Amino acid sequence: MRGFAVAWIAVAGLAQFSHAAGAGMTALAALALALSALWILVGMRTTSRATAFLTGFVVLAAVSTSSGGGLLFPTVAATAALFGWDACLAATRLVGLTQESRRRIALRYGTTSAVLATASIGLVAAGATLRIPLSFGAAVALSVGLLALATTIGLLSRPGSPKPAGQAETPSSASANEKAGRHLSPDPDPSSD
Amino acid sequence: MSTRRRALFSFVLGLGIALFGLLQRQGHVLELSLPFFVFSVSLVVSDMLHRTPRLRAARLLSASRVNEDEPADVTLSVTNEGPDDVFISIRDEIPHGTSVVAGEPALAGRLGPEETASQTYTLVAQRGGHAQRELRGSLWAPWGLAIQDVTLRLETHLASLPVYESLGEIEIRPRRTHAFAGAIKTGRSGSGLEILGCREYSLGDDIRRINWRASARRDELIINTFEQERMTDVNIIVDARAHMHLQIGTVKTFDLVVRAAAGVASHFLRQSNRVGLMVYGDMLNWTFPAAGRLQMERLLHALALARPSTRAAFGKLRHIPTTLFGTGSQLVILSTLGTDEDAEVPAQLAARGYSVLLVYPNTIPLERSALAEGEFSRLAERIVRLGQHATLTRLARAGVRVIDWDVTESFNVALHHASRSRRGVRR
Repeated sequence: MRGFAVAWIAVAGLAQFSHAAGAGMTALAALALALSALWILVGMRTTSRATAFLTGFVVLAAVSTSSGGGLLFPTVAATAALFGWDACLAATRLVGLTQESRRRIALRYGTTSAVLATASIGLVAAGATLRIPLSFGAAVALSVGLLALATTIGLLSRPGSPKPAGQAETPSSASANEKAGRHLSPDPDPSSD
Repeated sequence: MSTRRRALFSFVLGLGIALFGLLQRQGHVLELSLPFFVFSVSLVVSDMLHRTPRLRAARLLSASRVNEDEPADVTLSVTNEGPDDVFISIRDEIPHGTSVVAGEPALAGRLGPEETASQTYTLVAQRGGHAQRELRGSLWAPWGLAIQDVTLRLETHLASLPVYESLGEIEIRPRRTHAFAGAIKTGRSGSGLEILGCREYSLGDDIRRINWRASARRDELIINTFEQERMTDVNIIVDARAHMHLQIGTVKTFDLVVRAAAGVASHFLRQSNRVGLMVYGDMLNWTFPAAGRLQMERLLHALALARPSTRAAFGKLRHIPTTLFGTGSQLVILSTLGTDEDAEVPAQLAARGYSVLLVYPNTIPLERSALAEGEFSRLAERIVRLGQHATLTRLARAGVRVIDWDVTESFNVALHHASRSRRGVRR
């Protein structure tokens, strides 16, 4: 999984570097390379560091896009940074597993994330071909849509919010070795990871 | 970070980019926020569609009771009882004081319906009680990137008992014994195995006890008298005050004391005595005197859980609650005594009517091995040895039987030396 994370971060750094270097923004290009190198070297071990590096990459991508020079490379950089960050988080869940087990899960995760990343970049590329005039009506619709999405995610992010069917049984109290069989239940504290 | 928090964070980032784009009035920047919204929405949908599977997990230990540093096999198994495939990664809890020497305490991969995955690993545990209370892991969504963290309460206990050696003769002379037969010589005439002396035959004596040789010499009937052997109460007191113990390299004197206490307990229980145990340090850990194999298990478990402690309430040895010990019973104290005040305690107990055996774990040779050779270290060693000798001799004169145990040697060696020297104090 760490291999996937490194690959995503490297792609993000190179894409951002290419965009900034192509647009003549040497400082931003150097910053992109330094940021990705630092992330790979010191930022992959903890969630907070990975989050900080992702935020840095997003800021870099937004600034370089607003400075001109095309959309594709910053989009690739931001998307790769996002999936690199997510791979860093997923990798913490695989600590202690055997190499073979890690490889099996990482392969599955990597395939899914690659599909999603490609779809995201494709959507941006498709969006770039569309020219929608940002009229008052479209802006209101966009705002309402975003607000609705934010509310939905906010509601779902509350701890203990109802889940769809398939809830596991709550495990009973501590049991002896002889009564070893128990059902798994979701972690009651989502912040515990 | 949970799936929902990942989604929220991604959404917030996307929103930030979108706001920045709106402020800049640049469509390109607005478009840059799209991957973040896509990622966020995909996570939410994936999490909503992720049905919590029905899994059954079990952990089986090859033994719930092992000796110190003896391996125990742990078999972890997970069965998918639901209708769908499940992707899991689960890691077993490895308690402090144990280490995995073979295998992996983790399970991961795809589980089909009614399929069971199991994994065996080997634990080696230090002395103590070790509880494995839960399994932690993740369920990976079949669609998308949602990950659900799971915790399963599954409690098993592994007791790692102290290893002890079989001890030779330990001579004790308790002032009070029980009415039941045992192995403690009382010094009184009665039924027993050891001959106490001879006397003239009187009416009613068992003719099988007539000493014919002595009778032939004295021209009258002489019978042998035997020494009465009875069982007694032996109370072992282990000094668990942390400042009484030290660790040099991998050698912990407290562990050595615990093993010696286990050996002493085993020895006296084999002789059909009732043995009690007090671990004096962390709390009043008192195992009431009893006899038999079950009592040995109780004592071993109590010793397994014994830890050095720094509780101020047990700072001085004179706070030992003597009301717990039967009057005139045998006390076996395993302590390095420490202060002069502590050194008075065995003598005070002897004065109160207890028969006291002091096992003195002498750590000087161990400490000496860690010091550099030199005139000052030799002088320091000599001063400490003289102080020790004076203390132990004073105790021996006060009626305390002392076993001066060089902790770099086996406890049996100390017992052998003690049996040769009446006072037990080495010169």
